[in-house]
Amino acid sequence: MRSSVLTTSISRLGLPLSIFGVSLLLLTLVLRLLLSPDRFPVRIGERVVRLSELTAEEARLRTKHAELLKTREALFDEKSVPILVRTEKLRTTALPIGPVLLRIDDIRRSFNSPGREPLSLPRLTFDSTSGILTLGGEMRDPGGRSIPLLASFVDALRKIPLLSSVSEPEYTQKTTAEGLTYTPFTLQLRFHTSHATPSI
Amino acid sequence: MPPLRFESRLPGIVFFIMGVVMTVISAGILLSHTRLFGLKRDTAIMIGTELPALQSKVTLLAAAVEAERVFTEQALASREELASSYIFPSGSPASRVVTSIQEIFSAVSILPGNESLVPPDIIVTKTPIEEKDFKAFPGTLQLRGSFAPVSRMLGVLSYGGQMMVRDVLSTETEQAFLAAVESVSPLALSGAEDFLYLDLLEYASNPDTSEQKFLRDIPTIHLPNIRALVLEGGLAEVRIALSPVAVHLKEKRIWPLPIVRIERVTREGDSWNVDFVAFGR
Repeated sequence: MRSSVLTTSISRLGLPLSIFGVSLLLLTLVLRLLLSPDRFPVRIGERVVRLSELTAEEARLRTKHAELLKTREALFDEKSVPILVRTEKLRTTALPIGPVLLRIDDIRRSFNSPGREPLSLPRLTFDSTSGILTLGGEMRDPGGRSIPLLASFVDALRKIPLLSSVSEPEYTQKTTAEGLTYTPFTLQLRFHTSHATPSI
Repeated sequence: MPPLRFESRLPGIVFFIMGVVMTVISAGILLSHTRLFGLKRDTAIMIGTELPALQSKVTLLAAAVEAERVFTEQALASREELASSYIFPSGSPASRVVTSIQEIFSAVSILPGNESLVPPDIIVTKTPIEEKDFKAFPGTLQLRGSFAPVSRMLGVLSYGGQMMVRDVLSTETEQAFLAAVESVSPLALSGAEDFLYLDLLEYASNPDTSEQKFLRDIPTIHLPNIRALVLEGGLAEVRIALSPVAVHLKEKRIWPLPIVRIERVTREGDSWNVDFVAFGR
């Protein structure tokens, strides 16, 4: 009995409610179309601007910024400076042996103290085709610390950014007839392969 | 009113359900629209506050690019001329190479601690090896001296073919440098671009002063990072190799140095043998 009263009430309310629902939905859709946020101005500081103008202006400025960056990159016109372009190509085929030797000398001198130069590098070969620099020498130390000193030298060489690798030497300590300890070594230092010199 | 029969109640029930559904949909649309309004408003405020800075950045960049365009045309034209005469000359570069090496020796041998260096013997082949874009002139340099002065000589020689600060930096470093300057101080951009086109020997003669000219417009907090970019990019090596000999090279007018590619180096004691290739057009 109660359920039939409920369903009867629902059924009588149905048409008016559906008319209301349709009207509300239509009104909502119309409002959504007409009341777009882009149509309304926003106050920013002392200015009142429309959102569509702001977003368009931002997009325009970002595009212009990107174009200016591209223009700047293209300022070096290769066609107007053919000799500079060929010079640059030739330069890039050379391995930076000079700067590396200077860095090695810097490291070598860091081991010096007044009256003492423990690191000796009397043998050296460099071949640009293979990109390998071979150093032969010895680390001398009267206090018996030639091996840890050599290890520090190798570690310092490995920090030279122009080199891709430094080989591990044999750490053997020897003693001279006068009782001084030293460690002979041979190291292979490799340059980064992107610099490898094409042979003429 | 008497209750309706079920069959006659059915359409009404269907309408009721439809009405509820449409009301709920409308409510959902209204809610999302309200949220959209709020979001757009916040976006507008954010853009609005950033817009003046972006406008200023674009204006400064446009001015800098235009100034650089004019400067680049002039700078590159003069460098092209220098390159054609001194770096990559027409015909044999032998005389230029020999003179350059001798002057580098003079500059290095007078530095403290380099007294062991003996004047070098230099041979450059007269008959070149013809290649597609250049002529290669193999040569040999024989030196006597200790590690320090010879490595300095070879260090200076390695700057053959380079004229400007930007020649030392890679393209990636150059672009990272300009991007970093622009991001912290767009006003300093013009100075930074001038710095890249600065003559390398000029820089080596007074590296601190040269750097200061573009660094002065950069906020102090960003100075170490930007300076580190260019130093680690190659200018630290320039300071080590070229700065001690820059004045001498300037006085003797042997800058820019010709391109000399070192092919092989051998050392036994104080005797050094360096095989190299010089280039001509």
